[in-house]
Amino acid sequence: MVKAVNGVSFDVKSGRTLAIVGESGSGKTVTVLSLLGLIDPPGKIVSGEIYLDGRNLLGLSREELRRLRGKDMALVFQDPMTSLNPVFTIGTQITETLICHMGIAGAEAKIEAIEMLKRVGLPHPEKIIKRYPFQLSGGQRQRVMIALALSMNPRVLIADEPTTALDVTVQAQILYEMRQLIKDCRAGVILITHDLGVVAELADEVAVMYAGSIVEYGDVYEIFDNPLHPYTKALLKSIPRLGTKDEVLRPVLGQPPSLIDLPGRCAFLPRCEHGAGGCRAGVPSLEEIIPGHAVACHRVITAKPEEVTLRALA
Amino acid sequence: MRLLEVDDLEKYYRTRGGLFSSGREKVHAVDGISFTMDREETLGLVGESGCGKSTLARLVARLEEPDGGRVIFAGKDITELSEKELQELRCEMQVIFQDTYSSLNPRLTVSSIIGEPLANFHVGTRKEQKERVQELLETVGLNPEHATRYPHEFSGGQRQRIGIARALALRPKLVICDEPVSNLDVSIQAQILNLLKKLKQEFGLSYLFISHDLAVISYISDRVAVMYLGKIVEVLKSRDLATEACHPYTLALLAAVPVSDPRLREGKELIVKGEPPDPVNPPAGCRFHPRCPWAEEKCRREEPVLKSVKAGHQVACHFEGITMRGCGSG
Repeated sequence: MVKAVNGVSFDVKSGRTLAIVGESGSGKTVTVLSLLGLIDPPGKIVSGEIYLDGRNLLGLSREELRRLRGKDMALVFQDPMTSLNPVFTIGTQITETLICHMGIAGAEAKIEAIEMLKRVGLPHPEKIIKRYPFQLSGGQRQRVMIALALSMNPRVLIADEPTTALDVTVQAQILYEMRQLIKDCRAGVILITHDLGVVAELADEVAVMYAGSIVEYGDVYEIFDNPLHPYTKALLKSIPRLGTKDEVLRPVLGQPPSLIDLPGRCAFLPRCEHGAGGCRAGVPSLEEIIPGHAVACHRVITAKPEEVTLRALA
Repeated sequence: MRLLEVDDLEKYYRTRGGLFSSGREKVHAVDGISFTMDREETLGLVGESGCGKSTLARLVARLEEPDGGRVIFAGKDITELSEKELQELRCEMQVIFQDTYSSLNPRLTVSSIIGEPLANFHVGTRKEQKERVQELLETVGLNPEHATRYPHEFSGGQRQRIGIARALALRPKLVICDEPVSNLDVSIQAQILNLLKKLKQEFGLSYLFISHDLAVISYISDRVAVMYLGKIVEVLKSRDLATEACHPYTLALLAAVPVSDPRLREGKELIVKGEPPDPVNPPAGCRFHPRCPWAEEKCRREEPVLKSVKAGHQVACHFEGITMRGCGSG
């Protein structure tokens, strides 16, 4: 049995961005697909609760959930080519969503669609709505996806690796625009990424995932200034930075574990530099060490708070 | 000592005319590129998708036939070599590819994959070849006991290590690395970069290293060449990249790299808007002018040539870029 996601808890406030960061197979995408009720059989949510504005989503019927998706919870995928329908024009796809969820008429929906495309920085939106997805570049398609997602004024926007497939200069533009759009729309945003640079650009809070669990959770400045979990520290040391050629990268050694039959201890232990005997004593739970900063590591949890701060400073 | 000299290299692709299109068009994938590489040097080639960096790499290895220009490797013009002479060249020049799924034969065991170049070139006896494979596996950080496994049994990072071992089997002088870490997770990416650095020192290798990631390029390379729409627009030492780069496109790439600290994100400015133009119809004059915030009349008319602005630093910009750098940061 694969436990793709294991006891993950977080909350997203309106107008704030939570970044879920982790490597491939760490369970980031499965986490958000669960939120949307999009887990395909034989996969299933074994236990847990998901609340949106106080309503438990796991108690909803399929129909109720379908109405919620796209309207209250919108999703932007990594690959806009497969998430846009290739046989309909951009205009048709946006107006269909507007007509379906907002109940506005055709002509009005078209005006609204043009307005939305303008808002995400697409030049000549009146031409774009007549085109098919294959006629647009990757960056344009991703802008259409973002426009589509924001068109319903969602309560929650989920962005799954929104810029991973794009060139750097296009990525920079989309990140820049997303920052403005998020500010304006007041939705709570869940951003999934493997790229700590994207986290630094957009996030307010960060959840670091490893082997299906959150191992560290905190404010973005806190995570970058004062990472506590050995995995987070190693991730930060793994990214090459400009102008630091002589600095040697110090990546985590080894490979991420298989999620089949995870052992009953800290999943990071085989790769951890600081691992000790105490780390075998069960799976560490996520505990708040400093207000607003939680970590799942036996060593950090057992150390006194003063020591933690000192070690982080050293 | 000079290892490689590329002189005015060109490669055009003809687009297939559509059913109703009047004629065929040419894509200038590599359009008059010249550079040199020394022994034991790493030259990084950076650019966005479609700029021609992979085509350039394939031309250097002569996996593609150029339409013009010369590639001089260790004193020989390889564009004129016969098939047989070309085979000998393969001993000295090897390639590591981005996609380890398509570049490793799924039906061969790891030992056959790594041993294949040795068998092809009849290096040593069977027994010696086997020992060499074991040694190579150890060199790239894999367990020699896994030599009998198949590629699908390994993770992405491990498969890239297999590709590296195969490339090293014949003790080449030049290894062309085409986006070798782009498909890997960050921690694995750092492992592979460190491995490549270590191997370079150990075996005195030279790398022609292709990536779209400036941070990766600056970490691994001695010098960086920036490509835009089939042309090199700037060459400089990678140590100077963050401080001395002055072509507007290089500056745009630098500005586009995500910040490493969330405190730096406020007030971050973008240098370019829009996307690279269609390489079938590149803009007249300087190819970057439609996106360049400092473009003037001259840039629309005349194409700038790559010229030296100081030792080890070349720029293709009418305004030598340098004056612009002051303008950009000020």
